[in-house]
Amino acid sequence: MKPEPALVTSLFTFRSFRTRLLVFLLALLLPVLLGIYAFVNRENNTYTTDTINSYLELGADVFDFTREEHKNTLLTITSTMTRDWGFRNAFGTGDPFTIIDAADNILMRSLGAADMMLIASMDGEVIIDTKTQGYERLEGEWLALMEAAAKSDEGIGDAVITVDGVPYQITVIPLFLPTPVAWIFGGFPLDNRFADTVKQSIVSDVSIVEYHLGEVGLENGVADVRVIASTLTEQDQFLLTAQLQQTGMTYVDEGLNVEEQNSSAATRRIQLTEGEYGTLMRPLYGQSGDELQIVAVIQKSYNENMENVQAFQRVLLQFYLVVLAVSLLAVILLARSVTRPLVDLARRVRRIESGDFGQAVQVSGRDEIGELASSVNNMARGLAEKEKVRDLLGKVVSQEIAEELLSKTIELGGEEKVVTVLFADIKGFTSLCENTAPEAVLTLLNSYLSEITSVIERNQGVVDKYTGDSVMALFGAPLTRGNDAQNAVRTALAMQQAMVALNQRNRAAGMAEMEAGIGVHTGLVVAGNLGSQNRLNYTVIGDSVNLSARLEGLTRKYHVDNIVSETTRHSATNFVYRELDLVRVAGKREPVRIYEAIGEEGTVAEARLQELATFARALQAYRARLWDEAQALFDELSHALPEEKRAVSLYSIYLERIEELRARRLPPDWDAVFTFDKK
Amino acid sequence: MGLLKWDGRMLALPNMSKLLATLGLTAGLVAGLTQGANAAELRISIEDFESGGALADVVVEVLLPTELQAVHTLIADYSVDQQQKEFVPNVSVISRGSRVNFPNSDDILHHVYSFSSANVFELPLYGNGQNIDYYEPFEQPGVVELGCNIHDWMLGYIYVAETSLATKTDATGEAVITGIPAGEFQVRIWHPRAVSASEALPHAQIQTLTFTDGEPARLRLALVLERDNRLRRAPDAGRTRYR
Repeated sequence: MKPEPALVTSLFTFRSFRTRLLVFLLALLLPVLLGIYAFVNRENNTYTTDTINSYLELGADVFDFTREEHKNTLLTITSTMTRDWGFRNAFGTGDPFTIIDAADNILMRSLGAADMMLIASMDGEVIIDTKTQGYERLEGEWLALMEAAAKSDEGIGDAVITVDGVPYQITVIPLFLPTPVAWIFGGFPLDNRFADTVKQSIVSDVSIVEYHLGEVGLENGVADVRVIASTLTEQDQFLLTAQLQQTGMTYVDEGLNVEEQNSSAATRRIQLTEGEYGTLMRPLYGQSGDELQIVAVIQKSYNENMENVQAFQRVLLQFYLVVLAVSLLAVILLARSVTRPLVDLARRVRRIESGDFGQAVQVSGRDEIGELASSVNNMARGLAEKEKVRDLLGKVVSQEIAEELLSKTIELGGEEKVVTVLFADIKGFTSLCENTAPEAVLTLLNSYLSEITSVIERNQGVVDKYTGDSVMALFGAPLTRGNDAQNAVRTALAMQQAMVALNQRNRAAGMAEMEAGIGVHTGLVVAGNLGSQNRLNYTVIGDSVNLSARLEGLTRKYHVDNIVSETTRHSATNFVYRELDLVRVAGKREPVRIYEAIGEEGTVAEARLQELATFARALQAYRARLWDEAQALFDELSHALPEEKRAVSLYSIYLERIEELRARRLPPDWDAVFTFDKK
Repeated sequence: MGLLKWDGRMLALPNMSKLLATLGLTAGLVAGLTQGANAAELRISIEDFESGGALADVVVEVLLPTELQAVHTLIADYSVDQQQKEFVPNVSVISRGSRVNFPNSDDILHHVYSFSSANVFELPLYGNGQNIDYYEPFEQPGVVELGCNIHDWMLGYIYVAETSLATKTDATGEAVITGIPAGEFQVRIWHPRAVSASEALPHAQIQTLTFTDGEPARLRLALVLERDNRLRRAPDAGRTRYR
């Protein structure tokens, strides 16, 4: 089944750096450790096999050597016997019973080194046989042995011959009386006792095994196997027999002679009760292909040797555990040394994100993490400074200009756009200053400017600058909002209301009352950063700005609170206006129609609207040069005013003008435009 | 099993018979040509078949029928000395009824014995100067092998002949028997190592010769010898002092 991609990804996505390090460490370490383990194991197995093989070969050699020694002992015994005067005498009698007693006597004296004795005449007639096998004359292997001894220089021979089914190591030597008169055969059995003796020297198990290769056996390679003697337990003897029966004789199959068999003897593994045994065979009796063959089987347990190997493996595993534990600990410590400052840094960064720039992270070290930490600290410091600058900028310039400045690359130059510019000023500020203490003036001014500024900002205006008691505000720069003129007019009206509230407070505090003049004009300006490379100012410049300032100035002439240009009036329609006049300001050729904003539509009182209507009629009469009618209407309006305002009001201005115009002779193209020569 | 040799060479019997027959024919021819008047004489010359050299210590006995034996009897006393741990002479020829004395000329003890059926006897350990007056009688004809129970390699032979008509070859391989009655008799040739097919006496062979007075009969023979299978003398056996 193919794993889902998400699963694969999640397998290699780690929640913590420590887990990642641990996984990588294990991925690196485990194959190495396992590789070493496998290598050591293989070497150990090879070593064990070699050791067992050399044990077995040594064992086989010792087996042969022990057999040789026994053979020599046997020869010594029989040889000595032939020198024995008693035996010579006994033999000299020619009486078999005496001779057999003498032979038995010798066997007894040999302390088990010799087990049987057979004496035959020089031509092979059996004289005595302590095993009473029933021979009259020597035959078969016995005869062959005698003939072989006769051919030899010493007249000595040896062979393995089965006696009563047990393989015997047989030696033969002539009896000199003083010429050779008889053959003396001596023998000892290759039985359990002999196997035990060999085992004591070679510390390996020894078995004597007989193979009966019948006709069937030869064809199939299956032998009838019988254990004659063995140091193995009966159970193991049974197992050995069974397995030898199955596998057959290795060296018989190879068809080699005895010498070749010895040199090429191959070790094989045989499973016994307590594990596998290395097994080596040495032929004792019979030639390759003979019907009966006897072999010595030398066996050594792999387990015994494996004990050391296993002990080593245990030590190795313990060492591995220590290595793993130390490595894991080291990785955890390493991970912690990395993650702890990282966690601190992350926490710090989150705090910075939420606007807390304090508490620098303390990270010692000059590594990457140390660098990162100092970078974060620097960044926090930078951010803090920037925030401070932004705050300060918001105070020095308007919030929006500050944003505009901070968000863009600051450069000199600007753009043309239609902006509504509002100028506000305190009428009679200079005279106010003369009669008041400077501190009080400042307090007064600040309270006024704060009030005015908050009104501007509330109506989405931007304070461009303060110049003494005057404020210049922009609507439509730096951001155009679509209803900039409307906002400006609403600001102007709101300022007037704010001034009423302010004056009430001032009056209660015993301070002087103030009156503001406001000029509003909408027109094309250039907006942008103005100044030098090092110090600049976001502002707007152009005729419209000047006109706006002029209009503010005219409020004093017309004794109104605000004057709105015709352009602005067209852009901000849902207000009630009163046309004030048609003027030509200084430096401008085109006459401008100026208005006074009264209030939002629907909010102006009926009496006021009546007054405005009357004024409109009066203005119409004035422009039509109907001086009497105009004068009558202006008088009516003027008389409606409180007593103290009649002398200085809009109406009084027009009454004065009518007085003056009556006396003059007007040109036919009189356009009723009032020209202001002074700025 | 008489053909069995130490060195393992098995001589084919037919060849052997042929060889012996050839030799016998020659001897017979020679004997026939040398018939004498009163007493016949047998001149013997024996060589080693293998080396062709003269062969000493070959015993030749003219076997007389029983009725003639009594006339040719010589009973005498002989001596076989033991010198340097050897029997001297190595081969002695005596006629039955004679006695042999075994002095010890060495400065150590010897124990002379024989298990030969012709005379089983022993002279237990004795030294120089002892048993000087002891004479062992030899009544049975045959070969008596002498051994020493102390020195296994010591081997001597006493050939006990039926009559006095027996002798042994000298270093030149030659010997002469005189006083042989005329007639056709068997002659036995014996050597300790001679290969023979004889069942009656090992290492012996029989020839039939015709003896006439005046003309001596001749016996020229090449004997096939077995390998010397006596025990080897110990390397230090020649020393005379025990240190």
